[in-house]
Amino acid sequence: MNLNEEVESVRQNFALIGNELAKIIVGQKILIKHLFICLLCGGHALIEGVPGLGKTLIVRSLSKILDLRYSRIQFTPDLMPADILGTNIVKEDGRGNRFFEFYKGPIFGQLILADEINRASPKTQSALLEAMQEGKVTVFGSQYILEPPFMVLATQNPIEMEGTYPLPEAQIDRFFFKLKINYPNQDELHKILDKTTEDYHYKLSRVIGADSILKMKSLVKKVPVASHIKDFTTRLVLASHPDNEHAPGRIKEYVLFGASPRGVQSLILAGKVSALIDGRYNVALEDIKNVAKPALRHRMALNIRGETEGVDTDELVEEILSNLEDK
Amino acid sequence: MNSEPLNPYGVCIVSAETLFISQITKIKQRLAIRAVHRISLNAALIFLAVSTFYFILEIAGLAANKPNGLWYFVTSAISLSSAVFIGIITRSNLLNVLIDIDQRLKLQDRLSTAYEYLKLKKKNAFAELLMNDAAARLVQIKGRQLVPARFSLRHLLLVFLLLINILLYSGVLGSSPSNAAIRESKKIENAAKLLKNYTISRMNNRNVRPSKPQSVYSKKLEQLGDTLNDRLKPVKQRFAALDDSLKEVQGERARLADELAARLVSADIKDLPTQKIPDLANLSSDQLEKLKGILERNLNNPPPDSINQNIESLQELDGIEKLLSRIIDDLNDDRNVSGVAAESIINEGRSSQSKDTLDDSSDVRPGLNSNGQFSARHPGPANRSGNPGSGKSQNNGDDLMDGMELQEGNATSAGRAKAQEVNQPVHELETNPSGAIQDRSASSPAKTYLIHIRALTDVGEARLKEEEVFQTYRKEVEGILQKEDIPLNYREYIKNYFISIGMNTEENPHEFK
Repeated sequence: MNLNEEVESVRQNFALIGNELAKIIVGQKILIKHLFICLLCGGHALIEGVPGLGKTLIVRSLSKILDLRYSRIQFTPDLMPADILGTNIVKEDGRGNRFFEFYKGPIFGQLILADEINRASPKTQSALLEAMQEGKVTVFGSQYILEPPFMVLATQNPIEMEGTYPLPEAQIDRFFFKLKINYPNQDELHKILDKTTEDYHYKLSRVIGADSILKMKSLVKKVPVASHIKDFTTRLVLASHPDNEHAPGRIKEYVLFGASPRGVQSLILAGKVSALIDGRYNVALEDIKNVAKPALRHRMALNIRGETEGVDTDELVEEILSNLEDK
Repeated sequence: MNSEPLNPYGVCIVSAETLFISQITKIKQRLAIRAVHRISLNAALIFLAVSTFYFILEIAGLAANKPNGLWYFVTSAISLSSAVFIGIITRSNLLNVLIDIDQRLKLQDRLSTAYEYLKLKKKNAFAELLMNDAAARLVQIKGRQLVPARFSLRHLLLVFLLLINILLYSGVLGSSPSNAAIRESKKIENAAKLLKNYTISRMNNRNVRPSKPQSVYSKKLEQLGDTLNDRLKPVKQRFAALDDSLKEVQGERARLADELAARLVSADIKDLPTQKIPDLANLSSDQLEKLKGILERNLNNPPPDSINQNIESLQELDGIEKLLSRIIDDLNDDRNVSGVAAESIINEGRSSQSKDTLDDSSDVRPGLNSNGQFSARHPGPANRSGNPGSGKSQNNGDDLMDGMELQEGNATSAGRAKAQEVNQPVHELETNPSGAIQDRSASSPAKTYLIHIRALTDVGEARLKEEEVFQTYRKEVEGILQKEDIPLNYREYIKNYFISIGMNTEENPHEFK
């Protein structure tokens, strides 16, 4: 398969995944695209949405379509790190010798659904850090490599905040994208009714496997990016910092600190996948703009004033974009 | 058959770089054309702006020299070099142009990325595909779309400046320098024509009366005409020649007047039958003719030849001075002299032949006085209907005295002086402010109202006593003044007139109050 065909295969695979998911998921095209981008970039996504919008269903369906090992971790306040990572248990062999054997936790999957991640304590949340960042876990001094492709899809409920532990900045920054699930519109609700309250049968097929995903992942970093696109991206990230001279007024007013270098990496990598999905061999400004919100919205920490006034970071990102376009 | 792999657009991948370079070359050519266009536009704008500024300075009188070939050459060179300089410092980077094309034609940064990878020779697996893709897109786009010709604000400014220049040049928005030069030149040529006609008419007169040789003045007039016709000489110099001639004539006239006075004294003609001793230098041709008649009658013989020649010379000089004054007037006024003036001068020649048959009807015609000689084109108070000077003289001339025609002549002159004070105060040349000299026939403001009539009366018995005449006049005038038919502001003027005809409180019992 030559390079041109590989690019074409990315586009086709995305179309296939979209069509397969459309059997059970109504709408949410952008969310699915962003999940695909996340997958090819080797990132993890934090999905935020009120209950009942199909967060868990999407992740579960995706694991079936992609033929990835699926694990679900329901985060609760009493969940311990060992519950996620696994633990050593004492075993006895036939001669009566006792030994420790590592019992793998749910983290040892390929597509991990960390449901309501903000309900667990920070200690438990931090158990995910190493796994998400390095693709391995260390238990009792022993390192265990997680099988690629490894992807954590965490969900959190933005409404029921009582008794929750908001993710620390260090952890939230490790999520490649923060995705939002919006309410379906009237047509979509009609379709949801048709598919769930009537005698509707569906069977999700495997579209691609882990090998295909890894192959596509290797292609992403080869996509060329022009220097002016890189320049735009860096200016975009720098403008999210309140102490930057080019930052818009609202950023200076409501933001405590801006996006980290991971933000720039996310933007460029996501732009590359976006270009491949579009069948292009280069990253365009539109690609960067399209992924700016999911890549930056969770990387901008609001100050107290921003929090109390309920400022939406999406609006701030839009403001930065429009400010950059004017220049 | 081409065995090379093809991309989705059917373009050979191997030749992608070559194809892309050829497309970039086309864009570069278009950019070069646009750069030339911009430089030309900027040069034209600078040139027109400078030209407009210079026109305005010229109209305001702040620019001494008219634009000539050198001026146009230097201005064009400066404009072009400035435009080139501006073009160099504002030239756009090709990469920026390609980014602009990408954004304008929604090519999603294909061109700019491909060009960057081509220029920097970056190693990338996608580079070939990218160039191929970009080249394929460029092939589908027309050249005009890539580098479009836009009608900018500068184009609008160019049209505006062009219009301003055309209007300024054509003289619609002020006197055009070229038109003014043409007009000046034309006026001078007309003046030369006028002099020529005058000389010819004088020669014709001499043909009728062959006894008279061609005078030196006619020769000088011919020379002056030649000078005025000489296009090689600058306009200023030709104007100066005209001024010099007038000055010379005036000096010669004064000299001849002194000579005549001396000869009259030497001929023992001391007391002329006039109210005052005439100022010989200021006598008109008519008055000089009349003086000749008086001398004849007084001496019972024709006056000596020397006196006769002197008087004739003075007459000729009077005509020439009036002619020159008129020419200077016409050059000062922005009018065409060829029409009425040329006709006048010919009539002047004819009228001098039949001086005995003169009547006052010629006063009706503007530009001619009673002798067919020049007077001001602007009829002054004395020439207008209802004017006390001329009107009264015409009505009562026969009843009062034989020499009334002389009074008419002077009244006309006085009227001219008034008219000139109102319309054109001095005989100054537009282009030669310091060179123009005062025309003696044009009165000073003081002369405007205090008109001294020097009547040369014939010796004879008066039919009415002088006192009776004044009494009658006084009653009439007082009656008119009391009827309030005369506006208040004119009463003083009329009173001054009667004072001017010789009434003084001490010397004359008929003072008009």
